[in-house]
Amino acid sequence: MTAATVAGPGVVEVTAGAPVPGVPSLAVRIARQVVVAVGLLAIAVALWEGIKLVTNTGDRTMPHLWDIVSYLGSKTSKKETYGPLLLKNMLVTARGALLGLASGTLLGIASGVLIARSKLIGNGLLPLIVAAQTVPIVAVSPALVLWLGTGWTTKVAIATYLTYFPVTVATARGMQAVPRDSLDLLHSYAASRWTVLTQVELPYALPLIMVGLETAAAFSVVGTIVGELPFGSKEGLGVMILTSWQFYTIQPRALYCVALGACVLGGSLVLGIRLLGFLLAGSRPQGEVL
Amino acid sequence: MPDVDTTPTTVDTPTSSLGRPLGLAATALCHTFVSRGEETVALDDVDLSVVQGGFVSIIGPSGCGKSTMLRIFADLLTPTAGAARVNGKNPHEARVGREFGMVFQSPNLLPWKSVLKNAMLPLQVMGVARPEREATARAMLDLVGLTGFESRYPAQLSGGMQQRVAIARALSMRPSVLFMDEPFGALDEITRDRLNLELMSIWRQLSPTVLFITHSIAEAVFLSTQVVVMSPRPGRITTTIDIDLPMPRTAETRDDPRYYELVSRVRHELTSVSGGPV
Repeated sequence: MTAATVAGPGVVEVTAGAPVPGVPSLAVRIARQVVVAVGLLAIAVALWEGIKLVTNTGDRTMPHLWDIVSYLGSKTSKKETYGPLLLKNMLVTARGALLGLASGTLLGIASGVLIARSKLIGNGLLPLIVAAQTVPIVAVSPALVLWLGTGWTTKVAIATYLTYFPVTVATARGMQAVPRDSLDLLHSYAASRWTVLTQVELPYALPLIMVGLETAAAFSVVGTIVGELPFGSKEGLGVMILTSWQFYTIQPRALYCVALGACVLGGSLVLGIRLLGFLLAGSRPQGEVL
Repeated sequence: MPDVDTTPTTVDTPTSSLGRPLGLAATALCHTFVSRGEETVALDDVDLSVVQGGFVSIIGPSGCGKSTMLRIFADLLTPTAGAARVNGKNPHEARVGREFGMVFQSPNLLPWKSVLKNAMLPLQVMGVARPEREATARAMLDLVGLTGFESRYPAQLSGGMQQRVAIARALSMRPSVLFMDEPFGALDEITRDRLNLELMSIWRQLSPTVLFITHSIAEAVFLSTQVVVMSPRPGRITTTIDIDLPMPRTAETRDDPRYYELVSRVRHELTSVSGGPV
């Protein structure tokens, strides 16, 4: 690297090619986040056990965490080990959630672009989207099952529906935040609308879209589980939850295991989105996506 | 050094009284903004002609319509009445033909793109092949003294350096006309003086027609071949002052007694239009 300095009054001397001071490397930033995450997990464990101890809650309502975890190694009535069974169902749910997240994201970005680009569409569409979001999905899911059957389409449809809203709002807000000057600049190049979208608007909106996606990732898991709850589903975390509800009084630890499984799944998806954000922001100097 | 093609692309390019083709021309330009039923006359019957390769600064108090005029020339606004011509064409044709570059008050760089990629942006939009656009962008970055900073990001540069990138970016499309809207307005005076000198050297090498908007009298006099003084409400041109300082303009120009005379003349004109010191 050449070391060029721009001498002269009023110009900050910057040496080209030198590492940028004050900006830690990607590995350091990820390591810090992992440390914080582990710390927060430890606090959560301490809270659970602490509350159980202080309120003197019985094992039936609040089993010890180690009891819950150890349940993963026990056998079910069908002679299956609970842990692998849970993992298998998590993967089923994960598939639905990812499909829903993907389709909800695509639809959300498209709607967000439309809303930001057209005042007319935006003003008409946004209240409708907000209103639709208040529909309790659990209430209408039986109707969806009648429409789409008990297969994966219903789950994906619900996950898409829940994913769509945060992504739409984030995209629209992000695009509306693009500086007027940047748009004028592209206008002076006689750039096509597509070029403006891909070169300026979406990159500007990216940090906000990633925040929307993190929310959406968690919603997609919830949406898929809700889609698995109605009668007729054969597999997935939703089905396991229904089964554990029925046997809660006999074996409360099963339900907590499924709940933990759902947490792990949601957390992994959010982490995946973060990683994607890291990769997309790789060329940005300050990792603005995070 | 890259050459800028200043040959008129249309046959009927209007010419000045001296026979030189016009880079910019406005005839009876009027613009009225309507906001909540209230009309504001931003430009009232403005005539302006700038020969190709001329450097015209517009100076005037806030609200005198100088930015409005620039925005009309740059096809960002359609005038209520009158006509604007860029190289003899209407602003829309000139924009589609990529004949002008723009520099704003804010450097307006894309923060996620490196200095080189920012400088290449117009060429990328125009579909210029990668090796060619990179070569042009590097040449323009060299011209503004940023060789060695190509892989930096805007956030890692000082305000003055960011504005240099913005100038290199505008130059990389090799425009015959440059619109500069208070490009050095946000910089400290020392940096501004330095960039003024560099702009003069660039202008000498590439000889684009420049429409320069500023609030600084010293800057306007130092840079321009003509200073246009405007008055507000309604926006009108009150005086056009020819700046007959010798070329090339260098740091010594600022010590020229004629420079001081012209500065004080522009100041008096401005004081009279705004009814007090600006």
